[in-house]
Amino acid sequence: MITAIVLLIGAFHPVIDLGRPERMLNIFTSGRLQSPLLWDVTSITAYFTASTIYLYLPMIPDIAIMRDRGVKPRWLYEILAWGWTGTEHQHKVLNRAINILMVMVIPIAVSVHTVISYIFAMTVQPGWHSTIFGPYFVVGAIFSGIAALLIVMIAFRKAYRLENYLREIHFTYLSKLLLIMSIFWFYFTFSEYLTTYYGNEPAEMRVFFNKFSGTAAPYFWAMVVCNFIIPVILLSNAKTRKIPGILIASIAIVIGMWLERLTIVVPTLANPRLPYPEGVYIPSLTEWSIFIGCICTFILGFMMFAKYFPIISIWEIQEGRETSVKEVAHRLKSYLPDDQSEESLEKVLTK
Amino acid sequence: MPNKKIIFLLQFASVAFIWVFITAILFWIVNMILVAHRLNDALDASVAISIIAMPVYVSLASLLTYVFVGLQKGKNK
Repeated sequence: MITAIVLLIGAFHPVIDLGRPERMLNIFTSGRLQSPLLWDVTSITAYFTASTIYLYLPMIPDIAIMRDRGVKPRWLYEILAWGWTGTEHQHKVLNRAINILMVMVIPIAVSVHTVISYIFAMTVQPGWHSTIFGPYFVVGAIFSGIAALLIVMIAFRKAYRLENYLREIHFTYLSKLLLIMSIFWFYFTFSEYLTTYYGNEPAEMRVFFNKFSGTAAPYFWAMVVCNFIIPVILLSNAKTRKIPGILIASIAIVIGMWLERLTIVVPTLANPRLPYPEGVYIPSLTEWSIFIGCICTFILGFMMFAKYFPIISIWEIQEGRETSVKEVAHRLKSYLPDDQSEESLEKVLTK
Repeated sequence: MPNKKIIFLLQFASVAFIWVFITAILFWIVNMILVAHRLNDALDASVAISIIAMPVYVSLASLLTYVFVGLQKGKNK
């Protein structure tokens, strides 16, 4: 859901930023597929379609539950349930489709974040022309995605008292993943700047020093603190790897990733190759308003969704209760050296 | 509460919509190839990108249609 809403907001942004929205029509009449901007339009459309379908398909059985319980507006659930009655054949069809989509959506997601980086990397601008920008952006997207997910999970857990469903263990596992991604992010950032520094190309070095000790330095170092120092301190220690610590680390990461985008875009544009003096960028009131408006649109979209649809899958939890013991027993049997039967393991697990 | 026929028609319309959407995107991509051809402007790059993009959209629409048909057929199975 986060992906679908954010993609809609992101896709709408160029229309706002253009200043003359009617120019968007040029994409349809005279688009050039060899432009990375058009690759972005194509992959964002594919990602939005795939993530919306991936959101909808696993929700069908839950929508049918709401239809059968007479939740209003009933007509909406009746239409969206697509005639789900929960037969074996329907389960088979849905599971097959979800499995196919699960595989399809990964390369599409990777392509979107890679293509966004290509918009920068395909130019020869200092600070942008980098071969590792593709994977760097993919790592950044996973990193900030997990952080945003954790913030939403913690907020909903608190607001709707979902402590029995969103357990400490879920947060512990996700925070460990977040810690790994933080280290990955630092590795990519280090590699990116070390090669630039070692190359010592004058135009690149102007941007480099603008970030490290110039006007963009406060944003750059705040980014390092938010994306690396805070998460590593809080998440590598079991004492602070609790929900408050995870929330602080996640908020820091979301802010840090926003600062990362700022330090990628602004210093390069403020230090052009041509012999112009260094520029200073201060966001206008309109730009701040657009930014705050986008955050509000995201919160509104998520609240609207949560009002009409379950945020935790009902049928998947039910299915997990019925099949998880069998699955774990089967897995244990494949690990253990002795010849214990699956039935005896199931008995031990259910005790 | 609308009757079953209207419900089914609206459900069918939701699947038809994805095909209209995907067809429009395919037309758009083909148009861009034609523009590249007319302007003699990196036609090979346009075709290469289209070869990757077009099957993705068709697969997504086909998958959704497969689920719709499967659920309708499997109502009583």
